[in-house]
Amino acid sequence: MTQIERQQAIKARLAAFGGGHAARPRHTTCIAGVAAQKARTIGVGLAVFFVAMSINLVGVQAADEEATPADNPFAKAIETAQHRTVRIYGAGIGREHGYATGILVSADGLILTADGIYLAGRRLNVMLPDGRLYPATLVRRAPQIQTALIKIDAKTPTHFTLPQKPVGEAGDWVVAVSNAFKVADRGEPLSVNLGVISQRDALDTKRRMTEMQVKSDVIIIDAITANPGAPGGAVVTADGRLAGMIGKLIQSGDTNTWLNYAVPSDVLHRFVAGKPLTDDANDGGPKVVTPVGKPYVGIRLFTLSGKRAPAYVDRVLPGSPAAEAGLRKDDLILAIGDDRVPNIRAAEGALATLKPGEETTFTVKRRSTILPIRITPTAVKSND
Amino acid sequence: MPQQSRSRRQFSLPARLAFISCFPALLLSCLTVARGDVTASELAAVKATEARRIKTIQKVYGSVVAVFGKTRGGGGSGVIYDPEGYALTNYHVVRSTGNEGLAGLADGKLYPYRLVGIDPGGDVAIIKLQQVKDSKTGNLKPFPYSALGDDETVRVGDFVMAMGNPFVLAEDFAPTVTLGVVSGVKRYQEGQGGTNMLEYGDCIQIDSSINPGNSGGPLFNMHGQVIGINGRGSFEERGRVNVGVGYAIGINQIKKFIPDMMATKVAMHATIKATFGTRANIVVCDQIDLDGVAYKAGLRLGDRLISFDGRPMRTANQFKNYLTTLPAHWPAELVWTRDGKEHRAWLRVAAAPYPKQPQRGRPQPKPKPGDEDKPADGKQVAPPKNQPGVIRDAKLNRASAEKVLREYRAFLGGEDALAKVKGFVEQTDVVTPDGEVVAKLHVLVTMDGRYVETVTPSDGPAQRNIFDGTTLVEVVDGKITKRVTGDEAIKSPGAGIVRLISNTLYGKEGWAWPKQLVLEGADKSLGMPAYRLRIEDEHGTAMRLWLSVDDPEAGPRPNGIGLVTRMLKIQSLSDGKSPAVAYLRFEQKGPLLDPVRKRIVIGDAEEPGVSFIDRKVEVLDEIPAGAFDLPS
Repeated sequence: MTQIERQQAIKARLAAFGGGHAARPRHTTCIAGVAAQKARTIGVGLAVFFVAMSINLVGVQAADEEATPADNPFAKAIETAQHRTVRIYGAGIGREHGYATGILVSADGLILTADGIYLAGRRLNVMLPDGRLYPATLVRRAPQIQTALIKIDAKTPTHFTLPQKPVGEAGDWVVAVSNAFKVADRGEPLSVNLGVISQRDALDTKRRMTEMQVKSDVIIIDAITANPGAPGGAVVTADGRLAGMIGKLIQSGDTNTWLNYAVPSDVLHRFVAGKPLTDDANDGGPKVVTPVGKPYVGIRLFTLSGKRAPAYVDRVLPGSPAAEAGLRKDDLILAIGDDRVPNIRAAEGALATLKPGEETTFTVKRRSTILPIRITPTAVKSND
Repeated sequence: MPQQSRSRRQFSLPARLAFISCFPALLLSCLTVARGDVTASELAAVKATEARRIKTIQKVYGSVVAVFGKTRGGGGSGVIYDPEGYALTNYHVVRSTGNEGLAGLADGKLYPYRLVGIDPGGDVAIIKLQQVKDSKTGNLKPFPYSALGDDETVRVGDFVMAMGNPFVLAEDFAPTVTLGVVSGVKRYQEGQGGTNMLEYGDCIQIDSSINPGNSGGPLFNMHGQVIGINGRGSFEERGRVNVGVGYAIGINQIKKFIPDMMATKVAMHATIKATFGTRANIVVCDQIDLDGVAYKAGLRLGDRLISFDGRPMRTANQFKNYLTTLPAHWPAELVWTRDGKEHRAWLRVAAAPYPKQPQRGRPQPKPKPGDEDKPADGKQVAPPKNQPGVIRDAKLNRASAEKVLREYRAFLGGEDALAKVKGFVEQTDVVTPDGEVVAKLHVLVTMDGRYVETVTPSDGPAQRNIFDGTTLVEVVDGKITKRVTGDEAIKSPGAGIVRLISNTLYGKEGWAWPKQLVLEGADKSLGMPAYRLRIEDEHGTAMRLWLSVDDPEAGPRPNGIGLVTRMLKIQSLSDGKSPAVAYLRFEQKGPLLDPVRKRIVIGDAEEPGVSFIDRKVEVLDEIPAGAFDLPS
């Protein structure tokens, strides 16, 4: 961080501390800051004089309480974020919410959002900050960071520029802008929560029963953002730079509490640019998925003995992903991905949750050997 | 190509500058110590801000109430806004605690309270804490109280503090303070528990922690003004604890309902008996009641709504959101277009009904159709006790009405100042809206209701009216043209209204409170929420007063008064259909504030008529001898 950036960050932080009365103290801080800088260059003896003087100045300003108009140190950051954050409406199933938030990242309608069930339905709509509604298509997802890139057919000149380097550090004020609980109606500005960055670190998490990990570093924030509809929201610093995107709702594996975190903007930059998401050489970058829809593997299980019977493959459809991967009739499926599959019911459940385009390892028993078979499901054709 | 070379030049200059500007930065960065540390001056600025915040909290801390029922079963929070102990809380708090209960303050003491009025639609209630006597002076001790702010100026991102008693945590009733920011303004949260119940329109969304028990507590801005009452949050599958999404009822809405609650009514909300939908970015009337106010005002199906009550309406939700914040019978202008032609009409919004509540205990006697409001056997038919929109407790209502008048008297200058003043002499111009002076007035009026009034029209002979307390004389050109005495003089409209005004507004307090003094409830005048009072004396002279609930522009708050109540409008009711007089400006004259600019206003729209502009005002501490000598 350069000296100028550091000064700006401190100013922003102080302004934030200033709260309702920040207007004048902030001004004073600038004077004080310049004075202190000069003092450093001139010498220690004079520094004492300058600092003493500036404290005096602050004191004078502080006494003048009633006349100071309320100031809002975050107004600019909030406005910046609200103009670049969109509402996403899709399918909802059961307790999974069918709405989320997204951030505009290009002038031609590219939007980043958290991965979720709302992306799975046939209808996916995006409402721009001005209330205009557009249908959206999925471009690709990155399961490693539970993030998806979608696109609308519209010009979006006001958008975030994703930074290559991390933005914000522990202790910095951030505002989180999202459509938590779908509170903001059409045309109304999105909701704002205030917090600070607690730390940037890796997550050890679980989400209900399925394993869903965010493998990149994340930014832990102390604003409450783990609410329905908030994922995909913008987390910006007090000076309006994008620090990250509110991540998919996940619970801590240790405490079962909901985690308030954001996927860092530099990681988002790599995702959009198609680069590896982490420094891990094995990562291989984001997986490319074309259409949205149900997963298609191309097998039929031996169901004559009922749903509690072991999951034997009755038939492998020719030309299907399963056939291409080398799965055969009479193979016994033991596990799909990390889920053990004791019976047909479990296998059907696991098959339904597969994601088109995402390679999954099927563990099968063929005669007396156990084989891993990697299958990449495609999407079921839309007239299904 | 010239264009290219120009563009290159344009780019090169800023680039050079940027390069140069890097040097001092590089130099400085060598001199600084570790990243992230804060200089002494910066630390001082932070500490000063913190000290200010703590000072603000200390200022308002004593006014925050922990509300308990008699059984201490339920609990909530509240805030005192008036030194006599009037406090705001949520309706859903008092619904579970009942008509009486106990209120704990930060001083660690419990005070009994009584319910004054409720607004079930807006989820607000007023309770009154019982004052205790000061053992030394014998006077009632004033409560600490907080000023009410203005939520129109609240912006997203503003720091706010919620205070209250979450989880009934504080054994000593010391409130809990949670700091946060405004997350959204003008939010809508739909009603709960029945039609038109607990509906939050144009509310403030905050991320300050609100938990069960915070209900009814104040939301403060950083100046220590109440900008809302915290009432609910979005929880949804997260248990009933804070998830950073709370809602406060805006204080501007509450100010509109305070008069109805102080009148001991079950306050009702507004409907115009028409609904709207947003189609292709225009707001279109899609349902209308043929007997409703909107239809009668001229609105028809398919008309396009433009504005309501002075606010442009861009979506149907915006209209619904704002309508939710208005009390029943609020006057408002509706503007719409049909086939491109603009229409305007003033209407009074109708009352939105509440769900019928099963009557507990003895059934209430039902008034027969057509019998309402009619005296039967010389007595008023008592309405069912909890019927919405009617005065529930006449005694408490009168106490409220007297309190409002006392507040206005405090605004004028206070009892001590009023006691010193014996009369006024005023020279006033009567000016048309075009600015033409049509008459000059010279008035001497005493605080016991006598007056001498000289009217000099610009195109006619002067007329003089003298009322000396018993006889009313009219003099034109030095000749007595009319002379009445006794009852006829006392009951004459002129003498009657002067007597009513001087007795109730200027005379010795309590000395001559008239027979009938009723706080009718909420209304609007000069665009402000108002108390509407009806006053009638034993001679049958009556008037209506409109007094502001809390005028933010009235200047500094008089000491010891919770809300600034100033006169907005007066209407004489004895003089047939006489127009009302609006009080536009007050100025300090001697020990009192004097309304130096008044204007005749017509109808709910308050269309301007002639103005009365005081050219000279003299305050009399003694009435000159012979002032009321009648010409023989």
